[in-house]
Amino acid sequence: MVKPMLRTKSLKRKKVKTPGKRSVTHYKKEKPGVAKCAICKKPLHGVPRLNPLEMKKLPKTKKRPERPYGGNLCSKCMRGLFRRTAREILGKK
Amino acid sequence: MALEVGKVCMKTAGREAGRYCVVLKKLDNTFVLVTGPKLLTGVKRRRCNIEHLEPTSFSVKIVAEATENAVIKAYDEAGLTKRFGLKKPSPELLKEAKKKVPEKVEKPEKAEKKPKEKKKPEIKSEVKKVEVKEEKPKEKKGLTIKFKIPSLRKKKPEKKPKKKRVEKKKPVKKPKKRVTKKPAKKPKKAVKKKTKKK
Repeated sequence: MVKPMLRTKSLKRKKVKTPGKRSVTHYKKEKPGVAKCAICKKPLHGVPRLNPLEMKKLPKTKKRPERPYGGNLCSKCMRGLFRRTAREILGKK
Repeated sequence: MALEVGKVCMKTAGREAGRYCVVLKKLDNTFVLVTGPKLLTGVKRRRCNIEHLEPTSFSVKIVAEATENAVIKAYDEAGLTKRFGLKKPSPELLKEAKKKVPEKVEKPEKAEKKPKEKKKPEIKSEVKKVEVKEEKPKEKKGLTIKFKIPSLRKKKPEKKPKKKRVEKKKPVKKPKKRVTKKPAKKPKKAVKKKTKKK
């Protein structure tokens, strides 16, 4: 019998064979997905992959890179945005 | 070179990205001395890589290595504080800035790289031609960061259809193989029957 605490469906199960050749289920918490860039959909650097409760305990500077659009856009896409604004909007006199 | 003394640029990398700055002096083939000034735009007086700057069409009349207050005056004379929607610093802060002597910026010891400069103008000309065709209707008035958000929304619908096309192609390929096999078998049977009848 499993601990009643582990009977929730929110946990992930995995069947494992022990060295004594018994088959046992292991229970694990699910991890949230990787943070991705809003434009190019590539995984972001500098954003930890933690549960919301663990994220709360971190300081703000460790949750995302400290630049405009940090944690939403990758650095390449952000540069492209500012390049375009400098050229198009400010370029017209 | 596009980055002359007094050229107004936008920083495109790091924590100061999206803010305006003025070129004060050319240090090197790759580096340039730059200020916001900090009281006006928030960019510190520091050396900056050319690749992290994007020049705008505006420029300000200043001497090389001008003081912070002189740059703020030049902004006013050119009418750029209104145009960019910047807040003027209070006179008390300006007095404090006078007392402070601007820090000297050391020159980088790394070897100069000339080919990097030549690449820049080529990239600009290509991108400008493409972008102007796509997004012509844009307002001129607001120059704050709010502008960049609509361009974000525009980009999303452009990318979605690309993904759908890729998904459609996969199912199309499989039936093609089946179709090619079936007709190959049928004629053989037909030939056999004919031979039996004869």
